Amino acid sequence: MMKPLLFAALISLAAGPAIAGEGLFCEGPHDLAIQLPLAAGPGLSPLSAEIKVVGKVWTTAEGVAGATQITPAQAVGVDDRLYFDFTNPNYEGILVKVRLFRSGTEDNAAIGGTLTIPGAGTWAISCQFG
Amino acid sequence: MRLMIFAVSLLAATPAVATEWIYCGDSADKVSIGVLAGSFEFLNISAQTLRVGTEQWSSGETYGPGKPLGIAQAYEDAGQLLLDLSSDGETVAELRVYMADEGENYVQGGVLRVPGRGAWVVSCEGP
Repeated sequence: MMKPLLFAALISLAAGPAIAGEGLFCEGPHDLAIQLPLAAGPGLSPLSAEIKVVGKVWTTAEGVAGATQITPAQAVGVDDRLYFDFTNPNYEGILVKVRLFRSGTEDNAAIGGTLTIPGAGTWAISCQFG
Repeated sequence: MRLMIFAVSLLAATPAVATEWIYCGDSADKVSIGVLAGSFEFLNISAQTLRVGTEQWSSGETYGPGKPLGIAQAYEDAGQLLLDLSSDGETVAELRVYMADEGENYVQGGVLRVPGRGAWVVSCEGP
């Protein structure tokens, strides 16, 4: 059952990509967990990111032992799609790709797609705003 | 159509890479949108301009006159360019472009929507 806050987020998405002060949270197999805080205002702009899967961590935070540092490369939310790409701090290639479809009604809402980390794997994920 | 096409090689502040202009416009030259983008695997924009009739927006005086213009969201892959521009916290342009090639032909075409002002079929050239 959809929570009111989630539905409100989906309604705002339907009107446009702005998700002021929202965060996107995803989960999947192999203890996969994604946290994507988003900036306020028009457009889709990650403030930071932390991705955990197969015992590894990709994060925008600096100096995290054992983690791979990433930085937002490009992101967009149009129609029923949300795309996020992350690169390394030197802007050398795409390290992380998140591709999501969103579908929402008052009685049913879903945000799902894939996480792809070249060289590490690809996984189906489900997400929600919070 | 009077699309201006020119390439400018600059050194971006961070990181240091070549950048080039992509220009999109309609056949009647009513609207024009330009983005100065770096040569990454993804869209990394360092400047942008927008013109609708006599109204103009620009990310800086260096690039042209007009109201302030920022990036709301941007995305590009091998087949599409998706770009929203903003001014004073509001979306002022939504560009949706497909790229396609066949033989020696490479084309970029789509639509530009300017909320409150209209929508136009556009084609793009560059980088």
